[in-house]
Amino acid sequence: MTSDLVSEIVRCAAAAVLLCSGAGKHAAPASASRAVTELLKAPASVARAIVRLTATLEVLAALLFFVPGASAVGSALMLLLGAAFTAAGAMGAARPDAPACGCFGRETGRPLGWRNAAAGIGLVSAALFLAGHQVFSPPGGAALTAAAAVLLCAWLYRDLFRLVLKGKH
Amino acid sequence: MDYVFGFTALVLAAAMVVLFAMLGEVSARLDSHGSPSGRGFIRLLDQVPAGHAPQDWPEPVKRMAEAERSLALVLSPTCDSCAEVAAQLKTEPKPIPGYDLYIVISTSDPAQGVAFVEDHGIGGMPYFVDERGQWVTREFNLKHSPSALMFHRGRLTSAVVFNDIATLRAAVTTPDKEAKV
Repeated sequence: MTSDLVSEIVRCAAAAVLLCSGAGKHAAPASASRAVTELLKAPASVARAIVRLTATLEVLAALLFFVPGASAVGSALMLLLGAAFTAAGAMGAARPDAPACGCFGRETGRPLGWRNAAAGIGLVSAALFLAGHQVFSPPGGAALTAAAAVLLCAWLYRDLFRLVLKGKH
Repeated sequence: MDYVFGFTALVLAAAMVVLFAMLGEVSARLDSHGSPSGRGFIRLLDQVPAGHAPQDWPEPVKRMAEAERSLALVLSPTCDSCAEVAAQLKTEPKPIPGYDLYIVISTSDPAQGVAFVEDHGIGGMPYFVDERGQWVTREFNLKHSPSALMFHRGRLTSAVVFNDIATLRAAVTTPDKEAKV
């Protein structure tokens, strides 16, 4: 019972992070594209395509957690994405002029580094954990994930929220 | 019905993220291109070793060690704000009154650093291409760009990260703000 609850919480938290990250990068891919260009020395068009693909996979992984029979595919995608983020973070940490990560589509942000590698390892760990706990309770989980995504969004864009709520800087 | 509710909630949450991501991008573009109020960004970097006097000055910026007041702008060819700062430098021959100005280009590719200087027409100022940012990282623990390092007779007094020359000038040259920077 406790194990089911923990796996449900992990699933919802991971899905909320992936949903925010994917949707944010789809809406504002510029910063992440610059990071990919700099890290991989890839042309801008290729970098943008990589960011779009990553964002699509993130949203897809988040949604698959709540589709009957597809949770394992969601875990596999999250494992792949986590490994990619870990590698990107390690590459960024290895260079003094690492570009801003463009995480969640944000223009402002810290340079790519160990923080991103740690986040990637967190996703890999969550994917491995969920692969061993295939408990399924989608409707409530989806609503909980949506609520977590809204809270995460509010934290990520807290400056904008303040601006909207107060009507001034 | 529960599935419909759950996925509707997810779609609405995703739409909200998209909306705020777009607003964030618009806000960042307004900031970097100059908002109607002309608001720029500047922040004191407190991780730099204030008071530090480098023993090892690269040749192109060696005169900073003797200058009464000097200022090194650290730019990277891969950051958009750096390109905008470089464009502002080209149009302002004496951007920071009272300071000898030097440029440090932090880049993993020296050829790209030289091309950045030439493309923006700022080669008239003394500049040093710092491969992989090794010098600024080793001497000043600096990992941000665009940033400005301020020196008094070769001794680091403070450092800021900024996105606009006018904002930097105001912070450096206005007496009541100088204390903060």
